[in-house]
Amino acid sequence: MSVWDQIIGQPEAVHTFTRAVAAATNPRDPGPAMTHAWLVTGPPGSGRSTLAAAFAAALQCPAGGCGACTVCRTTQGGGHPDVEIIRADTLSYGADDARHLISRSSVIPTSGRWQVVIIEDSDRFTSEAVNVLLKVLEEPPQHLVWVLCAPSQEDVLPTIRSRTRSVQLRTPTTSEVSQALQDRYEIDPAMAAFAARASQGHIGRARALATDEGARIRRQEVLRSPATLRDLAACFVAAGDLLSAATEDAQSISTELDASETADIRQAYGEGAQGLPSSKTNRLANSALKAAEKTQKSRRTRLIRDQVDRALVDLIAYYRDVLILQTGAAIPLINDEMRAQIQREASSADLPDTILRWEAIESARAMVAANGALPLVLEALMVELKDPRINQRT
Amino acid sequence: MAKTFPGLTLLVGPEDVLIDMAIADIMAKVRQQHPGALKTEIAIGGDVDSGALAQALAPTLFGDVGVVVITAGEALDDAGVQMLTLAAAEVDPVNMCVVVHAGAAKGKKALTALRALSPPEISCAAMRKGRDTMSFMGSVMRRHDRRASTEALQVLYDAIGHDPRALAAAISQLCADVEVDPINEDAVRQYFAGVADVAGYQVADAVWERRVSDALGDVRWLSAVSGKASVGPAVTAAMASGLRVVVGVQGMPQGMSNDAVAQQVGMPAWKVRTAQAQARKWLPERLAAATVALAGLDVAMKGGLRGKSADPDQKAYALEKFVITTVGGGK
Repeated sequence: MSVWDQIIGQPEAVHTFTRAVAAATNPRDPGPAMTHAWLVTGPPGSGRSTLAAAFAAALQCPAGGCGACTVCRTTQGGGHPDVEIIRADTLSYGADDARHLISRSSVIPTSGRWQVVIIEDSDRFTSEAVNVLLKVLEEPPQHLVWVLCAPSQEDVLPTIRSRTRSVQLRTPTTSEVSQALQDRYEIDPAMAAFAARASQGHIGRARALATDEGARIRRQEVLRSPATLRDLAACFVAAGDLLSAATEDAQSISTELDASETADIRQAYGEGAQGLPSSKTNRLANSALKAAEKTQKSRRTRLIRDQVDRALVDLIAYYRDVLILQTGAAIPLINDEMRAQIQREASSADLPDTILRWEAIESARAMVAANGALPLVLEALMVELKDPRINQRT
Repeated sequence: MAKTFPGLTLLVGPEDVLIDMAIADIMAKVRQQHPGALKTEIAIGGDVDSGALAQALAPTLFGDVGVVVITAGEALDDAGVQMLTLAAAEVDPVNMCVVVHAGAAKGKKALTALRALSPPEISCAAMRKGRDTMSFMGSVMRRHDRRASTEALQVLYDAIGHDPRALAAAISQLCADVEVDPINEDAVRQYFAGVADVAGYQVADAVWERRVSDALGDVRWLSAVSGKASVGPAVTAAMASGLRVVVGVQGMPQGMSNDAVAQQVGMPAWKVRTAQAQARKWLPERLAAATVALAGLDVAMKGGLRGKSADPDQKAYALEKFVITTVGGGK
């Protein structure tokens, strides 16, 4: 057993990191395979943060990442004192947050050999925040290791890219995801295969689809929407339905996160401890809870936007399938269970229209990223899916 | 000669025009009995401290009666309050002190101390838009011993906007120039025309009713009056919600009764009628194209796809282009 067991379908990256860990046994004089700043890039759901946490555990573990000792488990659970995991839960991370981070990370490790800082969404740092980090990224204290994660290299500033060693993840294959679902969550093979296919290599999404029936139903509804666009009013209804499905997906993620955070804070302030009346712990925890509520609220906003984007990716996969049937390519469909509807769509539309629809979804995604009003963006998208040449004719 | 006024009066609130009117009233009242009464105005704060206040409150050599208006009463210190307390306690005051206090949290201590003396207090609270201001306009009319119809006041309010001082000035001009009594709508229109404040929903109404020139005028007016910065996502949001209503109504089956439609879309019947009139002006296809254009406009208002904040001129241009190309043209 080792910490790398949890990594799905990334043999090259694991190889790079195990070599680094082997070279890093002496923090005063690490070998060339180890360096102080890493940039882990890969598509959403490919397991960037899991990999970063595994690397941190392997660095701290006396046995180089056994996966069984307390050090490994606390690190991967986010509880190791010398491993700081930064999740940009809010919409963006500012210069003040970055300064705060620097002062915290420059302390000497208390129990481990390294001080590891993992930044899960480096792309969400503002450019001011990045500039604050530059110096310490370039010449960190001897004991400090940075692990930055981002969807792609283009998502971080060139000045960051040049100061980090890059590790690129690939999208895990369907069979790898399916196998992992079966091994780890004991999901039956048929369901695992469906979830792996439908999630297109997004591990977290695959798990949600495999374990949550609500998520499956909502996905189904989103994919059915192209067939419901009879008239303009129906487009608006479909847009509203897609938004509420995404909102529900976001809620099911955030309620889980919120509840565990709140419980953590209450515990940290002594809830359940002997000799402390609950009125006192409540009073102590109150301001921390208030602060947490604020970040939770902005995280919910961001999650809804993320889930809308994810639903749009599902729709792109749908039109990809349409395109496959239209061109007669011998490639398996992602949404094989909807073959009948896809077949109808493929025979009723011509190929250029399918490509225009695909482009409309891509431009809707760009508008979602540019903070466009979600209902309006989706309404416009549904109008374009119904009639992809609307702009050419009017 | 008996001096029959209180030693201290409080004016509480930030509304300048009400304060001025209250001071004018007080002066008029005092001068009825003491025609030579002087008005001294001192603003507390900066170099003006309780020393200056003491000087202002001191009786003159000839025993003249005066009104001392103390503005920025929030800055009164303990010594100042002490002095005013003494002044208020005088049975036969030489001076009448009028303390103007904004009534907010700043200088609350001084206000509480002065209120404890239970002097007469005149409220000059900030005027809210709408009915508050309309009743203020009525009271200004009464000051001029004139009356005006509600419609006339509404026209004036629409033309000038929410600016109490400008409204008071306009009323005094009207009272001087207009002969008819009560002053009616037509008389007001003779002097004041147009609309001062444009709300986002007014632009939206003009857009979906396809009154292109009105919509364009509203947009220009919006950026001229409320500043270019006001042309932003609020306008597209208003248009989007207007659009949803039009689309919702258009999608209802033909021949469905108004009330049934109202129930279905969850709107009052009169609103359904307006929306139906709007819907008749659009072929579904044009409305669909408008939806796509509006979504693009919304993103442009938020700085475009690349997220660079566009300058206000570009935003205004994008909005006008939307109005002309999408709202104008054929059905």
